[in-house]
Amino acid sequence: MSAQQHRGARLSTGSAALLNRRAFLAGAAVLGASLATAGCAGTYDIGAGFSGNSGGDNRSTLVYWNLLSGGDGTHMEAMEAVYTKEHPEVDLQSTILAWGAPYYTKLSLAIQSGSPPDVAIMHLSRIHQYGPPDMLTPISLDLLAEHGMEPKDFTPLAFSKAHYNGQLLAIPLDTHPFVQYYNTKVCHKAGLLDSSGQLPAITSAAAMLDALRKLKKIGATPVVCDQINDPATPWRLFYTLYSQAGGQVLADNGNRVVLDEALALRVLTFIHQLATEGLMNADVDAGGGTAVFQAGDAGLYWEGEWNVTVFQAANMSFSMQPFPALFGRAAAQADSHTFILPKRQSADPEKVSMVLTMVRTLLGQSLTWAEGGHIPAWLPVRDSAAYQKLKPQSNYESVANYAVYDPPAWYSGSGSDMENYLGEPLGSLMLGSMSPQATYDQMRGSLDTLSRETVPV
Amino acid sequence: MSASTAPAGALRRATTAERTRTQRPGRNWGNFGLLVPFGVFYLLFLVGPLVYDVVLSFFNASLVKGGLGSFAGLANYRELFGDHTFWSAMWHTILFTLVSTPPLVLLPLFFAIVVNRIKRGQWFFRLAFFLPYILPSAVIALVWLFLYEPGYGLIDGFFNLIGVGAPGWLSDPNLSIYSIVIVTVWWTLGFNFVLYLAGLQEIPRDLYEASALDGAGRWKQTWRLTIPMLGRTTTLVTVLQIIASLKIFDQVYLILQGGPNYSSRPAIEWIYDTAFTSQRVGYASAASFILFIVILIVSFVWLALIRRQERGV
Repeated sequence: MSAQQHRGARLSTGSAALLNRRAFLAGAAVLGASLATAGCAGTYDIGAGFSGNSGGDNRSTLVYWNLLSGGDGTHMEAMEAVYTKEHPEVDLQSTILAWGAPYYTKLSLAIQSGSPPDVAIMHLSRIHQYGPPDMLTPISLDLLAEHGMEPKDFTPLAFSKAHYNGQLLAIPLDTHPFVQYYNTKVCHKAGLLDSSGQLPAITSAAAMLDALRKLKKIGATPVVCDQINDPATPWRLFYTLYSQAGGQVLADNGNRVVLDEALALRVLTFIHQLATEGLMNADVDAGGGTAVFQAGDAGLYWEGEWNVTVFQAANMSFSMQPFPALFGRAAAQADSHTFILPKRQSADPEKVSMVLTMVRTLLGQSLTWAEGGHIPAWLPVRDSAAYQKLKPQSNYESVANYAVYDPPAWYSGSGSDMENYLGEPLGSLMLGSMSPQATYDQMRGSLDTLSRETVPV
Repeated sequence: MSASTAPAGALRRATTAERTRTQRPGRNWGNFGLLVPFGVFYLLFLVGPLVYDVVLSFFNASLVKGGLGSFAGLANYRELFGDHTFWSAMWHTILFTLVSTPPLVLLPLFFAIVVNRIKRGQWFFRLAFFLPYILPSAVIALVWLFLYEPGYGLIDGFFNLIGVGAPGWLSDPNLSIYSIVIVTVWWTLGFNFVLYLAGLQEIPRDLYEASALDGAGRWKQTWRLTIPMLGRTTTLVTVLQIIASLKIFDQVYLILQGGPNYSSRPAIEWIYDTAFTSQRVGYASAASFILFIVILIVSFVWLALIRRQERGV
């Protein structure tokens, strides 16, 4: 009797549990299906829900994407604050995304899916990847003038590079070149400074080797230049020197490889010598390179100008100058941050006008931007006394006139495949673990492959 | 005799037929109902993408253009077979699996046996070994970059202290994969360790008592009793480990980005780079299908080996 009761009880709890489970499963199935359909049909709304901004068409919002973190991010925020104070009617939604390839992937996908930001930061060297598939809104000069911007207000080189097929696709904010930092204390100790405490321009590869040997003699790290986990820096170093020697890498928008073996080998051999003679510390990542220089261990530091605020904050004695012309003409790898308007299916003139007003306001704040090291593209600021007084930032201001941008191709530009494919062997060369010839061969092979690939844009 | 058995057999057959007839529809519907929640996700997020991947691999699909792009036929596969960068990435994945699996099976076994012997404060060791496993890969990458950083890293400091130059953990192309193996062993050892601990608790106590009566010492017990009794756990751990190792991506991407000079780039990073940096989705799809086939073959070979092993037992 008691056993039967027990069994009955167990049975009933069993069926109750089953019922509950059924109800639960049915609920789960419905939830799953609705989630799935929502995923297919309503990406727009879900995206908005997750990120708080998917470029909604609400007139009062302005969605702005950029990849500016660290000091750049802080400066950009200060500039945005000026705009939002002047335009309280606009809800500026600024989103900072991770630098490099992931940023451009997200931007492509956002444009592709029809819900791009209203305005975004893009490296000038990247417009060749976005111009051809018609992903950017061309900006007419009339419209530009209406918003208080004329071609003559911009650094001519950056402004002309912002065109694709005769159309203006981007509004340059700056030029940011590869430069030379030097520790004034260490260089003074090595006897490299002139009477005014400046490092005189080094004008040949031999003179550079000489200076580095002097630094080595006093026990300093002669020059630090990072390459670990950072293929862009080796590329910047190579392209700077190779351009000084008059070399070209690509032609016909990337369909033809014109990398010159003899010229390239001259540069590669020089870099290899720096490694094998112990004149360069390249066994560091980007943070490590900054740390070595900040610790006062190194005489020279080769990097983009954007680390200036780090060393100023550390209160160390250093200065900066254009990357010395070691192989002939003055040249330095550089890029420009620009504002672009992603293409939308239905262009909204009011929105475009809002964007241009914002861009004009931010350009007016270029002095703030320049503090971060970048050379302003906005000439009213670049030519101002205030900028000229900004030291050491204005020391290398002239580089904006002869900067060398990555060769145009669908696979080149900031954080691109080309920078990665060429930067990796160059990184090994900088450690001395790869010979100049092997480096050249691998670079050539990668470029040949890239130039022959089916164009995805 | 035969006359009497025939009806009995017929009766038995009839009842089975009846049972299947009456029970099959209800049971099947119930089964399908239970499968729905999982099935929906499985179809949407596994089978669907897989089929889409195969379709994409026959087109010049691009990340930045709508639609499938132009039809490529077998061109993507042909290009892939001649692309040494892809095959070297595949080799890195396989090398990583070959190097990381033995320590990730043997070390947890060793630690589990040792910890299982500890009578007091065992919880501390269980926690200590398992804790790293709960950290996300991004945290692991940051921690180990601090350790490996040349010049300023903790490990470098240690090497300098004893007056030996530190190896180029992040810069030596011959060492990069091993640097990642060390990180991975430290990070994921805890999971296999817990599986082994569970396996150890399953071994009946009386076997130890019996073997002790037969005069087996600690060593002999471990070798002749504990390890053989853990055979099924070892098989499970090994299979799970091989599959996990073949999926290597995050640590390498976060710590080395596949460098130096692509010496550590695994297959999945190659696929990621090709699809999301080069924007050649069709080509990358062909590559991921090849990787899928390779993992499938490895799994089948392993399954066949296990079957034979089990039949042998």
